[in-house]
Amino acid sequence: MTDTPRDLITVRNLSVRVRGTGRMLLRDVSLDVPQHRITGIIGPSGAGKSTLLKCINRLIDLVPSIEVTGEVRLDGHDIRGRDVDPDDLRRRIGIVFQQPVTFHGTIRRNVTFAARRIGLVDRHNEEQVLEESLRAANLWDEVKDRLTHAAHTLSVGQQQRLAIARTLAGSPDVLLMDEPTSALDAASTAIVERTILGLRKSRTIIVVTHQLQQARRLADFLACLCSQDGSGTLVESGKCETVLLAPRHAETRRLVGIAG
Amino acid sequence: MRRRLFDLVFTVVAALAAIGAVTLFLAILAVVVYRGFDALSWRFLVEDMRAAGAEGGIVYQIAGTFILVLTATLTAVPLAAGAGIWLAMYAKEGARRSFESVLHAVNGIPSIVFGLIGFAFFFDLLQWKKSWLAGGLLLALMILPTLVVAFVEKLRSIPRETIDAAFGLGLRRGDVVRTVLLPQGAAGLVTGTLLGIARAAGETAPIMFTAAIFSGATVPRAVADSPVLALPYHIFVLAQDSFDPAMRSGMWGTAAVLVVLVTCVSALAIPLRLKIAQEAARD
Repeated sequence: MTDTPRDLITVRNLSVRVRGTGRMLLRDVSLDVPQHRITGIIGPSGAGKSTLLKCINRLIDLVPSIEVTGEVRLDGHDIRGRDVDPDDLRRRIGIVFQQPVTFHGTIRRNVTFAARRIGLVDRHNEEQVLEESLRAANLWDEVKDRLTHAAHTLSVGQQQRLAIARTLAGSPDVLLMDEPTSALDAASTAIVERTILGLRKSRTIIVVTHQLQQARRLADFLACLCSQDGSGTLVESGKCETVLLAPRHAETRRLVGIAG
Repeated sequence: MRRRLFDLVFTVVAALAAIGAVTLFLAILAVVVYRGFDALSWRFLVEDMRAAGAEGGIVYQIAGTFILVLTATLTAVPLAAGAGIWLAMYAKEGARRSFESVLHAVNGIPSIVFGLIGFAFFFDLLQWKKSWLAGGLLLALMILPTLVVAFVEKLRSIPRETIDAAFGLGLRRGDVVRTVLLPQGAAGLVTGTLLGIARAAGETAPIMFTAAIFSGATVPRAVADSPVLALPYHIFVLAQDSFDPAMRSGMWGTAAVLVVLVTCVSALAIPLRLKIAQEAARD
């Protein structure tokens, strides 16, 4: 592993504004996300962490009255370019939310239905994709004998790993995780963190977290968003230990100090 | 202590309201069935009307009502599904508000005015004269707002995270509709359809001008000039001669059949509704 991995995602001067009210959710955010590393995003509530994630896979496009300016590049390509299909982009940049979401149907269906629809999975490779995705999410051993059971019968922690498996079935290059363990107990959190660390070899991961200790455990790089005049602003980013142990910005120092 | 008292009072009031509503419904059902009991028989259900409603049965009134309600339901359900999906997923804010205003306006139009509009359009303009299809389409238009509102309310209750999660997988909008919205919103559409059926089955004014006649029709074999007999219109006509005991008996008997039929449709759909609601709750 080299010390200077190339940046897979670059965010430049990203601002998000609510049309009509003029309220800025994000102001002038610039960030580099290295490939095959875990980038943590920390910051207080309302600092725009989730908004930033939604800009990276263009889920923000689904929110009405939102205006996005600036630039997000994936592998050098502008994700807002005319030739970019947002649905394809979201397949390449998967997302896992705070609250586990299970869809109608069985565990098997939950993992593969989207990949089938997209055309990545057919009946020839379904079993393989199913097992690989569930294994990568550390869920295979727990559910391999009950794949036809309804997904909602799983525990909350298992449902979150099912959501990860479902995202992985689409073979994303990037995994966005929006506080993926905040709804889980300690044991489930530990398994999900192990899962995230296991995925680091093959995926570029961005994790939003409220917990500095979790950021310390997971992240190679860290970005700190703070709310300034009601707008989310990136005040500091860099190697995780540098940001946590020797923060340069007063807001980061305050955040680290308060939390830790 | 005060909060406990408030909770207790609130619980008692809510329970009394629920008991009151059920009691009222059962009382209406009991009165109608009791009054119509003398007329009710197997022959009443399977025979054609005779002696201008004083004798015979109401088989073609039942068939006509069934045809009208089925036509209205088959027309309104896909329209409501499409409109609901459009409102929930595709419509811009301004268009959505305008459409919902129109829906509420349509819902507020008195049924007699619907009848007149239907008469002007189907009878006069299209020259269909009285037609089962005209009546069915008019009833569909009448019940459409009920179906759409029930469906949209259900769709809006789907957590935003669920929809975002589906889009986050790279699914296209149509796929999200098929795999997430429709399965979870179906319970609302079923509820709306039941309310719509109950309303359509009981409406007299719209079909009086466009589809129903009192006697001389059986099962329609064409579109234009093909009226039907219908239970509510039958009740309406018999009520005008209700000083005659035979007519009065037939009127109450017909009313009992109408109420029981609507209740049966609702009762039959309860397991379906429960199943859909349970499935949706699991998601």
